[in-house]
Formats: sequence, C-alpha cells, structure tokens
Amino acid sequence: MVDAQQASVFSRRKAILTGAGLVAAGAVGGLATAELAAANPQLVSAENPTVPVMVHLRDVPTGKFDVFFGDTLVSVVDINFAAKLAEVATTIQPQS
Amino acid sequence: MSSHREAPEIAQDPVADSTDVYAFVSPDRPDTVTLIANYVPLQEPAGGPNFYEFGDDVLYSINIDNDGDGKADIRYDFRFTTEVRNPNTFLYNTGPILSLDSPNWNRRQFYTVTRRVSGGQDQVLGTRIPSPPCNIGPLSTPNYVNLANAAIRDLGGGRRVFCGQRNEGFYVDLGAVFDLLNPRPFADLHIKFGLPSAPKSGPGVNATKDLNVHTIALQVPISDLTKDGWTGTNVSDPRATIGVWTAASRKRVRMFDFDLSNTWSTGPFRQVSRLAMPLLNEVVIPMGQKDFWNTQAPDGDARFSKYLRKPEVAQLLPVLFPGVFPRLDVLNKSGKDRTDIVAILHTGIPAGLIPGFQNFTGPVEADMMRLNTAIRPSATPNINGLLGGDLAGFPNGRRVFDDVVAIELKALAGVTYALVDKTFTPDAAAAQLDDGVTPSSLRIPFLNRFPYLGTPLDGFNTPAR
Repeated sequence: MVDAQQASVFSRRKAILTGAGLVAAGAVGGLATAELAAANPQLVSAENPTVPVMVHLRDVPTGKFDVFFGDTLVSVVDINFAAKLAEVATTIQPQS
Repeated sequence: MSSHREAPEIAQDPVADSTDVYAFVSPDRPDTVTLIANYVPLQEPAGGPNFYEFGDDVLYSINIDNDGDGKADIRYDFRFTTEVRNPNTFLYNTGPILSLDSPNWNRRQFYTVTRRVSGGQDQVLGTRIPSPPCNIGPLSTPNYVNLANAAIRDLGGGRRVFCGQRNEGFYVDLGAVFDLLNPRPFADLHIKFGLPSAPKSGPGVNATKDLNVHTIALQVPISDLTKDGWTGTNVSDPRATIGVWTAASRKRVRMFDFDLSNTWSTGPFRQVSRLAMPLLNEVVIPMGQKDFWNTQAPDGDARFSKYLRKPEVAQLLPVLFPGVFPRLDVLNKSGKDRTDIVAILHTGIPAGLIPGFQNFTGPVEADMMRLNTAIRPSATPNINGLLGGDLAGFPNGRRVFDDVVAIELKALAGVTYALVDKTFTPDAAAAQLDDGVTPSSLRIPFLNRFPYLGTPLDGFNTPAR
C-alpha cells in the first residue's frame, strides 16, 4: 500500500487523464514500492532507480491500480490513494 | 492486400504490421520447412534518410501448432536492437557499405532468435545477428547481393535465418481490387453505377511492383516443428500437418516523455498484429472486428466463423457483376454455410475431398496456415496450388509464388463449394475470376534458394525507371 509520503511524491509527477482512468508515469520511487520490490527486486532496487514504471488507475471506486514495469504487470489496490488521485484529476486544471 | 494495412489500428503501425506469411517444404532442402514473416509494408525504395527497419520495441513471433488446438506448441521469437555509430550526422551511411561490419554504415540492426517450446526451456538460437542494410543505391550498396548473402546465418542443427529487406513478392492489383472489387480482366462485366468514366477491361497491374518489404525468414528441419519430431511420408498421418501463424506484440504502455525527450515502453507484451491465411482479416473480417481480431489468439477464432460461413465477397460478386454469377447468387440466397471456406481458412481440408490430400487439424476453428509436411515439393509447381492440382501449393502452406489472390477469389466465387456439395456446379466465370497478375508481373524474380524472396529494389534506380 501507499503511504502519505509516497503519495506526495507521486502527486508531484505528471498526471494525464485518459478516458475514465488516470495514468501516472515516473521513475521508480512513487507508488507501491513494496509490492513492486516483492515482484521483482532487481528491477526496482535503489541501485537501479531509472527503470520506467507506469501506474494506471484502472478503477477509482475499487482503487485498483495496474503497475507496469519491465515485462511485468502487477495489480495494486489502494482505495484511499485512488480517491486522492481522482480528486486531483477533478480539481486541478490539466496542463496544456 | 494479403494483410498490408488491413486493419485501422495496425495501418498506423507499419513496423508491427504482419503483411504476409509463407510456409512450405523447402524445394532445395526437402527435409526442412521455410517459414517467412513479412513486415513493414509498401516500402518505397528511396525512402531515406531514415530507411526502413524492424522495431526495437516489437516482439516478432512465428508460432507453430502441431496438435490442432490452435495454441502455439513452438514459438520462434525475434528481438531487434539498433545501433548508431555516429549520432552527429543525418547520414545512414558515410560511404559505400561493402560488408556488414562496414565503418561507413551508421545505423545497423542486430537481432536475437529464441526458440520457445510450450512447457520447455527457452533455447537462444543466435544473438547479435546482423541484418543487412536497406538497398540504397549504387554508391551506398554497390554489392547488395553480397551483403544480403552475408546476412544469411547458420544457427546450427540444420537451421538458418535471414532478417532484412526483400523485394515485395506479393503480387496483386490493389488499385482494381479496392476500387469496388473490380479486377481489370472483368471490368467490362462490372456494374457501372451509370458513370461514363467506368473502367474498361484490360490486363492486371501489379501495384507492389516497385516496392520492398522487411522479411523474417527461418529454415528449420521438419522435425523441429512436428509433433514428436515426426518426419514420415504418410500424408494421412495427423502429425504431418502443422499450423503456422505470425504475431507482433508491443509492450502495453508507451510513454512520450517530453522531459527526457524520448519515448519508452514498459509492461508485458500484448499482440497487436497476427497473420496466417492471406486476405482473411483483409476482406473476410468486417471493419468493426479487424482490430480486435488482430489482438486475439487463433484458438478463439470460432467467434469469427460466421464471417467465413457467409463471406461478404461472395455476397458482393453477384451484385457487382450482374448476371455473371447466377449459381453463386442462388447459393448465397439459400442461406447455406460456406463450409468450404471454413475448411480452407479455419480447419484445414479433411481427407476424402481431394485425392491424396488432407491438411485437416481437427474441429478447432483457428486461422493458421496449415502445411502438410509429408507432401514433397512439386517438381512442376503450379501458381494456382491445389486448384491447379499442385498438392504442394496454397492452401497447403504457401510458397512465395503462389497466386493467393486468384485462388481465394475463385474459392469465394464458389469453385471450392463443389468439394463439399457434389450437387453444386460453379458458375463458369468463377474459375476465371482473377486480378490478372502473376509472378511475371514482378520486377525482381524470386530466388530458388533461401530466403526465396528477391533482392530488394534500390532507391537510386527505382524512381528513375
């Protein structure tokens, strides 16, 4: 799960609205680090901080995130963080 | 076209666009099968300075089903890597490219081939194998045949591989076919819509005559592909027939990163293109299903069966050519399923319909190119394949010279329905239906050896013709 500090890191990253979902992108260090590390510690270790990770908020009500990295997709559920992102998406004007 | 730009989404993604699949027992090495998968369609040979290449971010696969379930038992994966020697020039090459390690060649591509067996260990067959450059012109690629030959690599175990540019061998009169299905030899019979400028009948025109394509060609022992390594001569043995299809896959996420001024992809691969039987997704599957079809595996193709059972082209022919296909019109209006088309495209042809032949893989409907490996290469091949009495030709696999457009047009017009309904007599015009082009319509001849597709046209001379 994502703690407040991780969420704040994530919130500074670019967010792009895509249809009903929300896609966020950035290098490792944002969302659900523990889960990613468990799935593939080599890919997301501190020694390899530039591996691209893409997080897709698939469904706001259930808090389901798809986390893409390397050749892998893992699912993460965090209803509170999903709600926070949804709030960001609806209250902040998109950057052009 | 066979499958060039055949669906809306893949038409926007040429490097992942499967255009043609060929699978045949190699005529010069009949203990092997040659598998060819073409990509990057409709290459204008002078298309520099960024000449055509495979996608580094695409997973190319040749799949083999050898037990009739429409699922891959064996898969050959190809991954490409591009290397740039000098990013501070716009030039593809800074002098003549005389060898594959020429220091004058600025943008090179290498690839890895991996053999994957369902439930088994992956086997890397080769790494850092070079592709040849594109054929640019007499100053840049003066000995192109030598470059291409040097790119044919032995993988051991009787296998060899080539990945690179070739002349487009799929001959077809695209202009006529897509101008409301109007093959030029039949134009006088086509409905005119009251237009005074409607075309008159004439010989076909090969629309791909001056174009190139990118080819993945693999030649492997028959025993590499068949169930239990079977290599017998009994045509009726179910182990004799393999099903082949190609696929291209991309990672599920692609990021256009303006901060880093580049793009990157991540996540698992997902199929964006596939191909086996020519023209299936092109002219049988309707537009609203084409993109979806490209993402699916063959074992689920029963969901598309209705389009084969009532093929749109067969419905259109009596309308577009009034009075020319009366028996086909009656067959269409009878509501009977075109089980001949299902057999040709989705299950293989069962024993008993054509003497000495079968390539039936069972009841699972799946778009696969079915090749009965027990049938030896023909000493006198006929470009009309099975319709021409040549059991070694399409739709028993596909050779580079097979006239798949004419064969499928004839089949859809009703010629093959007589195989499944002995009371049906095809229209006289059905056996004549043709777009009017043959291998003689090619500018570059096929090779009689691996990789069989001809030397690509060069950019300097082709526009000057």
